[in-house]
Amino acid sequence: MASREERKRAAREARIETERRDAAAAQRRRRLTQLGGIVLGAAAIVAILIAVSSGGGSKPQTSSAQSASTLLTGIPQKGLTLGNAKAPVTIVEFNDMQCPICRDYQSAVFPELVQRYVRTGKVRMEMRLQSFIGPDSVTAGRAVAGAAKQNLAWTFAEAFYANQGQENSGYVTPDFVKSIATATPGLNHSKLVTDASSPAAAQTLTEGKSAFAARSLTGTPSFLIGRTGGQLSVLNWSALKASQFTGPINSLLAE
Amino acid sequence: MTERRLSRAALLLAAIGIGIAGYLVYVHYTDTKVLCSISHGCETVQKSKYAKLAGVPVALLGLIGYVAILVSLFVRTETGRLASAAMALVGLGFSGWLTYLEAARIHAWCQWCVGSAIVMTLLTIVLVWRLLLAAPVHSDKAPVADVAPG
Repeated sequence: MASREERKRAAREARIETERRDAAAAQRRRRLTQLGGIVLGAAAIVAILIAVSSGGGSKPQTSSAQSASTLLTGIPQKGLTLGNAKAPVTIVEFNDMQCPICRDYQSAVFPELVQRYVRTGKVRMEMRLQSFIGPDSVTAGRAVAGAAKQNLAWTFAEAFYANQGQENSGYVTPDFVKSIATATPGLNHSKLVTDASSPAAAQTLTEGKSAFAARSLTGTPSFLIGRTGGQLSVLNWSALKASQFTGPINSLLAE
Repeated sequence: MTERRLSRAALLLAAIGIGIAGYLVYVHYTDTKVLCSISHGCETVQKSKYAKLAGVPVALLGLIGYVAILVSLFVRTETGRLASAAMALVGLGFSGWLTYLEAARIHAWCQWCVGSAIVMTLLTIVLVWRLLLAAPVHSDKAPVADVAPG
C-alpha cells in the first residue's frame, strides 16, 4: 500500500499533467483561432485586390475606330509589302494582329523606321501574318489579307493596332472589322469582307505559319533582315527601341 | 521539422520570390524582352491589362510582398510569425487569381508568374506550419525557444 507521501506525489503529478494538457489544448485553440483570423483577413484583402484587378483597364469598344495616321500616306503598298520594291534592304515582320508587343513595336519603333528608311526608299517591309494566339487572330489575319488585295494591308494594320482590344476576348467581330475598314482611307469594306473569306486569305495565313516554322521562330513580333533579293537573317532584338533596328539596317545599307 | 528549419526554408523561398519578381520588375521598367521558353506567353501576360493593379505593376507588388515577408522573418515575435503567415496568405490568394487569369482570360502562360505562384504556395505552407508549430509564448516580448531565420 502506498504511503501518504507517495499518494500526494502521484496526485501532484496527475494535476501537473492535466494542467499541461489543458495548456497545450488552449494553445492549439489559440493558434487555430489566430490562423482563422488571418485567413479571413487575407481573404478580405484578396477579394478587394481581385475587385480592383477585374475592374480596371479594359479598353472600351466603340463603334467608331481611331483612324489610321498619315504615316503611310504616299508610300507604295503592294499586297503585304510596304515601300519601294527596289529598296536595297528588306525587313520581314512576323506578326499576330492580337499581339500586344506587335502593337507596341508599331507605336514605338515602326514610325521612325518608316520615316527614316521606308519613305526614303532605303527599306521595304513585308508582313508574314500569324494566327496562333486564338480565333480572333485568324479573323484579324484574314481581314489584313483581304486589305492586302486592295494594297492597303499596312494602313489597315496600323488602324487595327490603334484599336487593338484584349486578346481572345472575341472583340474581332464583323462590326469591329467594319469600323477598322472605315478608319482606313480608301478601303472598300464590302470587297474586304469578300476577300477575307476567300481561300486565298486562308492561304496567306498558312504561308505565314510555314515561314514562321521554317525559321524556328518562337514569338511575335519576329523579324528577318537582309539585302533585298539576298539571304535574310533573324534580327535579334531585346528591347523595343529603334536603335536595335537602325544599327543592322545601317550596316546593310553600308555594304 | 523544427521551427528553425522552417524559418530557413521560408528565407530561401522568399529570396527566390524576390529574384523572380525583381526580374519581372526589371523587364517592366527597362522595356526588355522577357526570357520565356513558352512562345509569346510571358510578353502576352506582361502586356495584358491585368499586369497592373490600379496603375501599379503586379510584379512590383509581388516584389514588395516578398521583401515584406523576408523582413518579417527577422521579427522574432509571435506578431512577426502572424504577419509572415498573413502576408503569405494574401500572396497565395492573389497568385491564385493571377493564375486563373492566365488560364481563363489571357489564355497565355508566363513561366515566371507560374514559378512565383509555386514559390508563394510553398512559402504559405511553410509559414502557416511555422505559426502552428511555434512554442507557446506568454508575452510578445518574451518568446520561448524562438530562433532567428538564418
